[in-house]
Amino acid sequence: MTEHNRQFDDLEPHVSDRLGKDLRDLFEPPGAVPARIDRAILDQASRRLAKPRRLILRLRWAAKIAVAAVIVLGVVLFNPKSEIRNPKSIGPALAEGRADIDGNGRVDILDAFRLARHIEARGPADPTRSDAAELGWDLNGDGRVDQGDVDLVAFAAVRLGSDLRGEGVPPLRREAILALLFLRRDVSLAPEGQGQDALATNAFADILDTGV
Amino acid sequence: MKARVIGVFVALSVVAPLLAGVPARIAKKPAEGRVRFAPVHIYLDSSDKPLAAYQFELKARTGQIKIVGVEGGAHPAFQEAPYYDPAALMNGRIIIAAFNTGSDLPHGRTRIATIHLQILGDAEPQYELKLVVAADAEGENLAAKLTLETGEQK
Repeated sequence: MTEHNRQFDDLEPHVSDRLGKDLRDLFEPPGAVPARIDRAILDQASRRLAKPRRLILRLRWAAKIAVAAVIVLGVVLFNPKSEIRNPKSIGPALAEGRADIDGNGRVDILDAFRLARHIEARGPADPTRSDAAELGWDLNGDGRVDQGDVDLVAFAAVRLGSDLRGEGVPPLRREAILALLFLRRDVSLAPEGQGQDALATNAFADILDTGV
Repeated sequence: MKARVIGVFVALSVVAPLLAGVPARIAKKPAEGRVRFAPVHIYLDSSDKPLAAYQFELKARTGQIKIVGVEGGAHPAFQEAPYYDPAALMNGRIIIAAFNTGSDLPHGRTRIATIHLQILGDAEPQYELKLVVAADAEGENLAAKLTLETGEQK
């Protein structure tokens, strides 16, 4: 160590009593802070500092709830068997029961054949006539028993089981759509003053709403 | 750290249902690469009675097939495409039916429909044919015989 550095070792802070007293008088607070004020300040500080923490906790809970909602929504929407994706309509037994024209307990092409023969034997539909038996055969709900109903019964006869169609598909919905294609083609089915498109659209909406 | 875990969890919860929603048949591939198309002709023999209505079911007992089209029969009474469920297309099972209320009806053995198939693989499929119903002009059941033939010749 050099002489130059050693000179600083002797610099112990020697403060005289008088200087100390003067410094205390200068910087000491005028009086002690009352305990009540001290507590109030602490309370206020803790309240203010606690707010962001509460917000963080709330955000964490919101994130957890959002994650749970996404999982539930994903399972519901992307599950092929979900009833939301494939809403159930009326039961297939009820729907096919109405298409069982000959009442032998099953729907086959003979039901459509029998209905077609009945329509041919009856002649053109008379809107003023309401045959009790015919009312039950108005499967597409257009107020008449005609070729549209025959097609609906035939399509019900060839309908495959739920293994290919998927559960929850409204019964006979596909048949209704196919039958309506026939309905659109047959111009003579439209009543006077009503467009064919309007007729088909109304019947389509009715079938989708109620099933067959 | 927690934010990262939550991020991974959210990503998984979005991706997993999407993957679960992919139909299984997309991932299903034919065992063998060869694909060919072949018609199957369906014949019905109503003997001396007139055939007015029929309904049958066809499916592959062995082999992998997909139905790609349905054609009507030979007689004018059944020349139009019969009734079938469109859901059967691209599947291996179909129910086919038709009727005619006219007086010109076929007798004896007649081709009632032709089904066009896509056959996957080299193996020759074995078919199962089931007559559901056949009826005469009065709607009475017929004791008819249902057969099939494969090949381009009708």
